[in-house]
Amino acid sequence: MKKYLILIVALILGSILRLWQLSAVPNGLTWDEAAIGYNAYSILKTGRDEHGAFLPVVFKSFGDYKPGAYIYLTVPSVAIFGLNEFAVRFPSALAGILGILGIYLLTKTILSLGSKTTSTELPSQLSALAFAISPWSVHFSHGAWEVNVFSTLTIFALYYLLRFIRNKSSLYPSLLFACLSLAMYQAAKLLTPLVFLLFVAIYWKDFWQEFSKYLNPGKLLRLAPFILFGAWIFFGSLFGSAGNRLSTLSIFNYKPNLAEKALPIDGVGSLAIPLFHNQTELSTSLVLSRYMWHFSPEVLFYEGSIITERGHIPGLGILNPLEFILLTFGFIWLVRQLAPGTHDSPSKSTLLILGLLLIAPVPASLTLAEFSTVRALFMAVPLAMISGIGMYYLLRLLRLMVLPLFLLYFLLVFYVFDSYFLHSQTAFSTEYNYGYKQVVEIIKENPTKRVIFTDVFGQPYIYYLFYTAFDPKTYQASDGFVDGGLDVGKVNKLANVEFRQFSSPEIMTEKDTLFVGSEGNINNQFDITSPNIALFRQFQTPDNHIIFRVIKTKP
Amino acid sequence: MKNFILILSILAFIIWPLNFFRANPQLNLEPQTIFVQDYQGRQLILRNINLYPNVYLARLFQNKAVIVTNKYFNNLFNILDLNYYFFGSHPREVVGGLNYTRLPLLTILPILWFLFITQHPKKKTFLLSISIFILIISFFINHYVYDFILWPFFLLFIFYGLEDLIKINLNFSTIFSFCLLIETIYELAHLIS
Repeated sequence: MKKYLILIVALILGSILRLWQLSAVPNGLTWDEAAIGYNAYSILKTGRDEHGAFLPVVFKSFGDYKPGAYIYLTVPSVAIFGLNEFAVRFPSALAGILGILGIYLLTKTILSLGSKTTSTELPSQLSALAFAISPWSVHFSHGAWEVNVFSTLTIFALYYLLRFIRNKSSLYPSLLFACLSLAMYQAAKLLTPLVFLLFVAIYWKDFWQEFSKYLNPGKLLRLAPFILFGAWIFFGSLFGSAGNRLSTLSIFNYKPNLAEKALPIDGVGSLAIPLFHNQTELSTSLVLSRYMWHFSPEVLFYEGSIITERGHIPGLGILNPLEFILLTFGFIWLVRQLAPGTHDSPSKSTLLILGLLLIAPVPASLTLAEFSTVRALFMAVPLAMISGIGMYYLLRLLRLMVLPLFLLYFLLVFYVFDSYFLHSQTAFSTEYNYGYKQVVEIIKENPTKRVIFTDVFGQPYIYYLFYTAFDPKTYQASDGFVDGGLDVGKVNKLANVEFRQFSSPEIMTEKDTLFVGSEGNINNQFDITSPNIALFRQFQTPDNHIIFRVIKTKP
Repeated sequence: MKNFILILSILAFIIWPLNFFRANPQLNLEPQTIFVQDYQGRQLILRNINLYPNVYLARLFQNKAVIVTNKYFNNLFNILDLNYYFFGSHPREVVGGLNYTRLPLLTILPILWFLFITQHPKKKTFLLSISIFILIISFFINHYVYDFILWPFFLLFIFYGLEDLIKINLNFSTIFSFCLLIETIYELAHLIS
């Protein structure tokens, strides 16, 4: 028991951080969370998704073709807890907790493979602790993020792959987790093969020795379902409608026609145009700069992503600021294993951990977004390992300084989570569509002949379906979804609810109608004391920005 | 061999000064420190104060010092960002700043090699000196005008890093040096065109 004290503390602390206020922080639901929840509810009640497809592997949803694994994980959660925020987020929170155990197992296996002299228990448990209190991991466990479950599945896939290489397990568990990870998340189609290739390349000899035992008809037949399932998921997302979504997000589809723009400056026939202003050069530099941006200390420790507050604790980086010290020491320890003269050959454990860190941002670098904390979440895994190793190295190096340093570190951990749980709601409210729940409650409490609901914030229908727990069979039969081509589609009408824009004059002429609009739809000049107004309500973010205004007209 | 490494290091490094003088021909060194009055910064603080439940907490987290420290850390993290050197700060270009490529991307290998692996007798002095200079120039909003202070260090990092790489693996280093040479010529041609 005492031997595993740090791991037990990490698991308890990690569970508290991931489960406490799960439904309230962040204080709303993203479009995807609402869609996941409703599709899980639809599967539970009818066996079909919102569009009526029977047990699909890829869900059409808004036309963004979501991998189905997370939705199926949510089905039992919705069955137990009901259709609410907690049920939708619970699988991700659970994955985050299991990830702590996974990090411990994986780090221990990697370190024990790399060197026989280094202690493996303490750095592994410290890595688990670093992961348990990683703001990046905690935040993504507080939301229905498929990528969070994908990270945990990949951790276990790699753990079992290493066990297979050491002849302590069969190949099947590793393949099972890898296949599940492919079904879980779009970017897994690139990341999972890459990390597997890294592990296999580093331990090629041992891998081949074990794998050659599978080269007989009986065992190959047993491998076939995994290979076929993996190939089906892999190619299924590359072609057809799901492939359209992939090409919309790809950085390689950003083609601003540089040559044409450079023509007035460089002149016709200039050699500079094909040499310096070509698409290949642009795409390469965009991908490389995005890749390097993932290692920017500004993003990691200071301000986080510049694009959206949704992916990190507002006002802070995606890691604890003092983790910078732990990572530096961890990095020095790892690199010393690579340094010539210290070992006969570079330490394989170092190559694995650094390799994971270098591979993790690759999928995120290939998309249009400059930095996506979502797509780069797998970086939290090698970073936690390096932090844990850094703590271990610090403990060995600076025995006297360790106590004040760790006290300061945990004080900062307290500050970070105080910011997250108590002060982040102002920024999250707009990012997580705060207000939809309250508005739907008003719709339920005030039945009218018609409801006109603004679509300015995107996909209002899914919030209506989610918060009213709309009968899936009725919705599937109505099928009012309008495809958006390469972009996402929308629903214009659902029962007596119309999702569209409206203006103030319309409110004055329509009777027995509930109008749900933004400040743009119902502006400050609108006369709410007018005789045909039966009800007026206004919903604001915690920092007093108006999100929704609701007006009910008299019959 | 040493001469070749030296020439290659200088060639790779020269892009920085060339870009510097081209982008800043008058070399206006007038300092703009983080301590200048900032009306917008003060307005932001006043707005944020309303988000706190009581005045003591508001004063603790939102005060005039925050304006200065935020600017300082913005500058510091901008200088510590690898994209500042290799991609003209993309995707976070400084408005009105000198957002140009300072070094060819491939020089990242000798620089990181020197910083993390090379055992050089003067390494600690170099690192301490460059750290002090970085901490000082972060006090300037137009820190990109003063980054010439860092030139000698980067030249030395590239040179010593390459030298160490060659000692370890000659074949790899030869191929790498050739690639670096090609990239440097490409970047120089781009600059001249």
